[in-house]
Amino acid sequence: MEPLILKTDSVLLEFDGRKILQDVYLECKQGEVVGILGRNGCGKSSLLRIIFGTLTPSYKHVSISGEYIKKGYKNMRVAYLPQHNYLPKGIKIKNLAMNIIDDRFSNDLAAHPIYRDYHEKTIAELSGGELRQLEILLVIYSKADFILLDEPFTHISPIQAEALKIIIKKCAQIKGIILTDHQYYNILDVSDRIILITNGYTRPIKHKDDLVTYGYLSHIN
Amino acid sequence: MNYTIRITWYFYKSLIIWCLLVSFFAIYYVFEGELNIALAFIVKIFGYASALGVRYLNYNSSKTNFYFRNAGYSINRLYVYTFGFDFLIFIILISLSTIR
Repeated sequence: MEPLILKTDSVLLEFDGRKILQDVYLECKQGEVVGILGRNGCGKSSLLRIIFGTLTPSYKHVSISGEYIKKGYKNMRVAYLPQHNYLPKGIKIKNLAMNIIDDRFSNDLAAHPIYRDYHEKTIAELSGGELRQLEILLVIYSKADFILLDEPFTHISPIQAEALKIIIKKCAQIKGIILTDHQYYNILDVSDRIILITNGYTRPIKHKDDLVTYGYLSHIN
Repeated sequence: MNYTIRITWYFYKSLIIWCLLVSFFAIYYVFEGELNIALAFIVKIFGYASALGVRYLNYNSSKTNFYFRNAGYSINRLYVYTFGFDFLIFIILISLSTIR
Protein backbone atom coordinates (compact mmCIF):
# COMPACT_ATOMS: atom_id res chain seq x y z
CA MET A 1 0.00 0.00 0.00
CA GLU A 2 1.24 3.48 -0.91
CA PRO A 3 2.33 5.53 2.10
CA LEU A 4 -0.05 8.37 2.89
CA ILE A 5 1.28 11.92 2.60
CA LEU A 6 0.20 14.74 4.91
CA LYS A 7 0.58 18.15 3.28
CA THR A 8 0.13 21.50 4.94
CA ASP A 9 0.26 24.47 2.64
CA SER A 10 -0.47 28.20 2.49
CA VAL A 11 -1.04 28.65 6.20
CA LEU A 12 -1.73 32.22 7.26
CA LEU A 13 -2.01 32.78 11.00
CA GLU A 14 -2.34 36.28 12.45
CA PHE A 15 -2.75 37.55 16.01
CA ASP A 16 -3.71 41.22 16.41
CA GLY A 17 -2.56 41.94 12.87
CA ARG A 18 0.84 40.34 13.45
CA LYS A 19 1.60 37.52 11.06
CA ILE A 20 2.82 34.50 13.03
CA LEU A 21 2.80 32.06 10.12
CA GLN A 22 2.56 33.30 6.57
CA ASP A 23 4.25 31.02 4.10
CA VAL A 24 4.23 27.52 5.44
CA TYR A 25 4.74 24.35 3.52
CA LEU A 26 5.11 21.13 5.45
CA GLU A 27 4.99 17.62 4.08
CA CYS A 28 5.26 14.34 5.94
CA LYS A 29 4.77 10.89 4.58
CA GLN A 30 4.21 7.68 6.49
CA GLY A 31 7.58 6.19 7.25
CA GLU A 32 9.37 9.39 8.18
CA VAL A 33 9.96 11.68 11.13
CA VAL A 34 9.90 15.41 10.45
CA GLY A 35 11.36 17.68 13.12
CA ILE A 36 10.29 21.30 13.48
CA LEU A 37 12.63 23.78 15.13
CA GLY A 38 12.24 27.46 15.85
CA ARG A 39 12.52 30.07 18.54
CA ASN A 40 9.94 30.64 21.26
CA GLY A 41 6.72 32.07 19.85
CA CYS A 42 7.62 31.38 16.22
CA GLY A 43 4.46 29.30 15.71
CA LYS A 44 5.65 25.69 16.05
CA SER A 45 2.89 24.62 18.41
CA SER A 46 0.35 26.71 16.52
CA LEU A 47 1.25 24.91 13.31
CA LEU A 48 0.71 21.52 14.95
CA ARG A 49 -2.63 22.65 16.35
CA ILE A 50 -3.68 23.95 12.94
CA ILE A 51 -2.96 20.53 11.42
CA PHE A 52 -4.78 18.80 14.28
CA GLY A 53 -7.77 21.10 13.80
CA THR A 54 -7.98 22.91 17.13
CA LEU A 55 -6.63 26.24 15.93
CA THR A 56 -8.27 28.02 13.02
CA PRO A 57 -5.97 30.28 11.02
CA SER A 58 -6.98 32.89 8.44
CA TYR A 59 -6.14 30.38 5.74
CA LYS A 60 -4.81 26.85 5.48
CA HIS A 61 -4.84 23.85 3.23
CA VAL A 62 -4.23 20.52 4.91
CA SER A 63 -4.60 17.29 2.98
CA ILE A 64 -3.79 13.61 3.32
CA SER A 65 -2.87 12.07 0.00
CA GLY A 66 -4.87 14.74 -1.83
CA GLU A 67 -7.97 14.55 0.37
CA TYR A 68 -8.71 17.88 2.06
CA ILE A 69 -8.75 17.58 5.85
CA LYS A 70 -10.72 20.20 7.75
CA LYS A 71 -9.95 18.83 11.21
CA GLY A 72 -7.13 16.34 11.49
CA TYR A 73 -8.51 14.57 14.54
CA LYS A 74 -11.77 13.55 12.86
CA ASN A 75 -11.86 9.84 12.08
CA MET A 76 -8.56 9.53 13.95
CA ARG A 77 -6.44 10.61 10.99
CA VAL A 78 -4.11 12.69 13.15
CA ALA A 79 -3.24 12.40 16.86
CA TYR A 80 -1.67 15.20 18.88
CA LEU A 81 0.38 15.34 22.07
CA PRO A 82 -0.20 18.75 23.68
CA GLN A 83 2.39 20.33 25.95
CA HIS A 84 0.13 19.96 28.97
CA ASN A 85 -1.38 16.88 30.64
CA TYR A 86 -4.52 15.80 28.86
CA LEU A 87 -5.76 12.47 30.22
CA PRO A 88 -9.07 12.52 32.12
CA LYS A 89 -9.03 11.53 35.78
CA GLY A 90 -11.03 8.74 37.40
CA ILE A 91 -10.77 6.26 34.52
CA LYS A 92 -8.57 3.18 34.57
CA ILE A 93 -5.53 3.55 32.34
CA LYS A 94 -6.30 0.33 30.47
CA ASN A 95 -9.76 1.72 29.60
CA LEU A 96 -8.26 4.99 28.39
CA ALA A 97 -5.84 3.06 26.21
CA MET A 98 -8.43 0.62 24.87
CA ASN A 99 -10.20 3.36 22.93
CA ILE A 100 -7.30 4.75 21.02
CA ILE A 101 -4.48 2.22 20.68
CA ASP A 102 -3.52 0.75 17.30
CA ASP A 103 -3.75 -3.06 17.48
CA ARG A 104 -0.36 -3.29 15.79
CA PHE A 105 1.21 -1.65 18.85
CA SER A 106 -0.87 -3.14 21.64
CA ASN A 107 1.89 -5.62 22.57
CA ASP A 108 4.49 -2.83 22.63
CA LEU A 109 2.29 -0.81 24.96
CA ALA A 110 1.54 -3.80 27.18
CA ALA A 111 5.26 -4.50 27.53
CA HIS A 112 6.16 -0.95 28.50
CA PRO A 113 6.92 -0.70 32.26
CA ILE A 114 4.63 2.29 32.84
CA TYR A 115 1.63 0.58 31.28
CA ARG A 116 2.49 -2.85 32.66
CA ASP A 117 2.71 -1.54 36.23
CA TYR A 118 -0.20 0.91 36.21
CA HIS A 119 -2.77 -0.23 33.65
CA GLU A 120 -5.25 -1.26 36.37
CA LYS A 121 -4.91 2.13 38.10
CA THR A 122 -5.97 5.69 37.30
CA ILE A 123 -3.64 8.56 36.41
CA ALA A 124 -3.90 9.93 39.96
CA GLU A 125 -1.47 7.22 41.03
CA LEU A 126 1.27 8.23 38.57
CA SER A 127 4.08 10.69 39.21
CA GLY A 128 4.40 13.67 36.88
CA GLY A 129 7.14 12.02 34.83
CA GLU A 130 5.30 8.71 34.61
CA LEU A 131 2.12 10.45 33.53
CA ARG A 132 3.97 12.31 30.80
CA GLN A 133 5.49 9.08 29.52
CA LEU A 134 2.09 7.41 29.47
CA GLU A 135 0.56 10.34 27.61
CA ILE A 136 3.30 10.19 25.01
CA LEU A 137 2.84 6.43 24.57
CA LEU A 138 -0.93 6.72 24.14
CA VAL A 139 -0.44 9.24 21.34
CA ILE A 140 2.44 7.48 19.59
CA TYR A 141 0.67 4.11 19.67
CA SER A 142 -2.70 5.55 18.66
CA LYS A 143 -4.64 4.46 15.59
CA ALA A 144 -3.94 7.73 13.77
CA ASP A 145 -2.03 7.73 10.49
CA PHE A 146 -0.03 10.78 11.55
CA ILE A 147 1.30 11.68 14.97
CA LEU A 148 2.06 15.23 16.12
CA LEU A 149 4.25 15.56 19.20
CA ASP A 150 4.59 18.93 20.90
CA GLU A 151 7.61 18.90 23.21
CA PRO A 152 7.75 15.16 23.88
CA PHE A 153 11.26 15.35 25.38
CA THR A 154 10.36 17.99 27.95
CA HIS A 155 9.67 16.72 31.49
CA ILE A 156 11.31 13.35 30.92
CA SER A 157 14.80 12.25 31.91
CA PRO A 158 17.66 11.79 29.40
CA ILE A 159 17.47 8.01 29.64
CA GLN A 160 13.73 8.12 29.03
CA ALA A 161 14.34 10.43 26.07
CA GLU A 162 16.70 7.85 24.57
CA ALA A 163 14.06 5.14 25.00
CA LEU A 164 11.43 7.43 23.50
CA LYS A 165 13.53 8.02 20.40
CA ILE A 166 13.66 4.26 19.80
CA ILE A 167 9.87 4.06 20.13
CA ILE A 168 9.41 7.00 17.75
CA LYS A 169 11.69 5.42 15.14
CA LYS A 170 9.84 2.11 15.35
CA CYS A 171 6.45 3.75 15.12
CA ALA A 172 7.64 5.83 12.16
CA GLN A 173 8.08 2.66 10.14
CA ILE A 174 4.35 2.73 9.47
CA LYS A 175 3.21 6.22 10.54
CA GLY A 176 4.21 9.77 9.77
CA ILE A 177 5.51 11.70 12.75
CA ILE A 178 5.94 15.45 13.12
CA LEU A 179 7.53 16.67 16.32
CA THR A 180 8.92 19.80 17.87
CA ASP A 181 10.92 20.48 21.01
CA HIS A 182 13.44 22.97 22.35
CA GLN A 183 15.82 20.09 22.99
CA TYR A 184 17.06 20.47 19.41
CA TYR A 185 19.72 17.76 19.76
CA ASN A 186 16.99 15.17 20.37
CA ILE A 187 15.05 16.49 17.38
CA LEU A 188 18.15 16.36 15.17
CA ASP A 189 18.85 12.85 16.41
CA VAL A 190 15.44 11.33 15.75
CA SER A 191 14.30 13.22 12.63
CA ASP A 192 14.72 12.23 9.00
CA ARG A 193 14.15 15.83 7.91
CA ILE A 194 14.31 19.15 9.73
CA ILE A 195 12.16 22.20 9.07
CA LEU A 196 13.00 25.52 10.69
CA ILE A 197 10.29 28.12 11.26
CA THR A 198 11.72 31.61 11.17
CA ASN A 199 9.88 34.90 10.64
CA GLY A 200 6.72 32.95 9.84
CA TYR A 201 8.32 30.96 7.03
CA THR A 202 9.26 27.28 6.91
CA ARG A 203 12.76 26.56 5.71
CA PRO A 204 14.06 23.06 5.02
CA ILE A 205 17.36 22.45 6.78
CA LYS A 206 19.80 20.55 4.61
CA HIS A 207 22.75 20.76 6.94
CA LYS A 208 23.20 21.55 10.62
CA ASP A 209 25.16 24.66 9.64
CA ASP A 210 21.93 26.10 8.23
CA LEU A 211 20.66 26.41 11.82
CA VAL A 212 23.49 28.84 12.52
CA THR A 213 22.97 30.64 9.21
CA TYR A 214 19.31 31.25 10.02
CA GLY A 215 20.17 32.37 13.56
CA TYR A 216 18.58 29.47 15.45
CA LEU A 217 21.90 28.33 16.92
CA SER A 218 24.97 30.43 17.69
CA HIS A 219 27.30 27.54 16.91
CA ILE A 220 27.31 23.81 16.24
CA ASN A 221 28.90 21.58 18.86
CA MET B 1 -21.20 1.80 18.67
CA ASN B 2 -19.77 0.46 21.92
CA TYR B 3 -16.77 2.67 21.30
CA THR B 4 -18.96 5.77 21.00
CA ILE B 5 -20.91 4.85 24.14
CA ARG B 6 -17.69 4.34 26.09
CA ILE B 7 -16.17 7.66 24.97
CA THR B 8 -19.45 9.48 25.64
CA TRP B 9 -19.58 7.97 29.13
CA TYR B 10 -16.04 9.18 29.90
CA PHE B 11 -17.02 12.64 28.71
CA TYR B 12 -20.28 12.56 30.67
CA LYS B 13 -18.37 11.72 33.88
CA SER B 14 -16.93 15.24 33.89
CA LEU B 15 -20.49 16.68 33.94
CA ILE B 16 -22.52 14.02 35.68
CA ILE B 17 -22.63 15.61 39.16
CA TRP B 18 -23.79 18.95 37.78
CA CYS B 19 -26.33 17.40 35.41
CA LEU B 20 -27.82 15.17 38.11
CA LEU B 21 -27.96 18.02 40.63
CA VAL B 22 -30.00 20.11 38.20
CA SER B 23 -32.22 17.12 37.40
CA PHE B 24 -32.93 16.33 41.06
CA PHE B 25 -33.55 20.01 41.81
CA ALA B 26 -36.14 20.23 39.02
CA ILE B 27 -37.71 16.87 39.84
CA TYR B 28 -37.98 17.73 43.55
CA TYR B 29 -39.94 20.89 42.85
CA VAL B 30 -42.15 19.11 40.30
CA PHE B 31 -42.82 16.42 42.90
CA GLU B 32 -43.66 19.11 45.48
CA GLY B 33 -46.02 20.71 42.96
CA GLU B 34 -44.13 24.01 42.90
CA LEU B 35 -42.92 23.61 39.33
CA ASN B 36 -44.80 22.42 36.28
CA ILE B 37 -43.21 20.13 33.68
CA ALA B 38 -42.65 22.92 31.14
CA LEU B 39 -40.76 25.01 33.69
CA ALA B 40 -38.77 21.94 34.76
CA PHE B 41 -37.62 21.51 31.14
CA ILE B 42 -36.59 25.16 31.03
CA VAL B 43 -34.61 24.69 34.26
CA LYS B 44 -32.93 21.67 32.69
CA ILE B 45 -32.02 23.63 29.57
CA PHE B 46 -30.47 26.36 31.71
CA GLY B 47 -28.67 23.55 33.51
CA TYR B 48 -27.08 22.50 30.22
CA ALA B 49 -26.02 26.07 29.48
CA SER B 50 -24.41 26.30 32.90
CA ALA B 51 -22.81 22.86 32.42
CA LEU B 52 -20.97 24.28 29.41
CA GLY B 53 -19.65 27.04 31.65
CA VAL B 54 -18.77 24.66 34.48
CA ARG B 55 -16.74 22.47 32.15
CA TYR B 56 -15.11 25.43 30.43
CA LEU B 57 -14.06 26.93 33.75
CA ASN B 58 -12.78 23.62 35.02
CA TYR B 59 -9.19 23.82 33.81
CA ASN B 60 -8.55 20.09 33.79
CA SER B 61 -11.77 19.30 31.98
CA SER B 62 -10.97 21.57 29.06
CA LYS B 63 -7.45 20.16 28.87
CA THR B 64 -8.85 16.65 28.57
CA ASN B 65 -10.58 17.66 25.35
CA PHE B 66 -7.40 16.51 23.61
CA TYR B 67 -7.97 12.94 24.79
CA PHE B 68 -11.44 12.91 23.24
CA ARG B 69 -10.20 14.48 20.02
CA ASN B 70 -7.42 11.92 19.81
CA ALA B 71 -10.18 9.34 20.09
CA GLY B 72 -11.62 10.91 16.92
CA TYR B 73 -14.53 12.86 18.40
CA SER B 74 -15.28 16.57 18.27
CA ILE B 75 -16.21 18.12 21.59
CA ASN B 76 -19.48 19.54 20.19
CA ARG B 77 -20.52 16.05 19.12
CA LEU B 78 -19.81 14.69 22.60
CA TYR B 79 -21.87 17.48 24.17
CA VAL B 80 -24.80 16.51 21.92
CA TYR B 81 -24.50 12.81 22.86
CA THR B 82 -24.02 13.60 26.56
CA PHE B 83 -26.90 16.06 26.87
CA GLY B 84 -29.12 13.80 24.77
CA PHE B 85 -28.45 10.85 27.09
CA ASP B 86 -28.85 12.99 30.21
CA PHE B 87 -32.12 14.43 28.92
CA LEU B 88 -33.44 10.93 28.35
CA ILE B 89 -32.67 10.05 31.97
CA PHE B 90 -34.32 13.29 33.06
CA ILE B 91 -37.52 12.49 31.13
CA ILE B 92 -37.67 9.01 32.66
CA LEU B 93 -37.12 10.35 36.20
CA ILE B 94 -39.61 13.19 35.84
CA SER B 95 -42.20 10.78 34.40
CA LEU B 96 -41.73 8.50 37.40
CA SER B 97 -42.01 11.43 39.78
CA THR B 98 -45.39 12.47 38.37
CA ILE B 99 -46.92 8.99 38.89
CA ARG B 100 -48.87 9.28 42.12
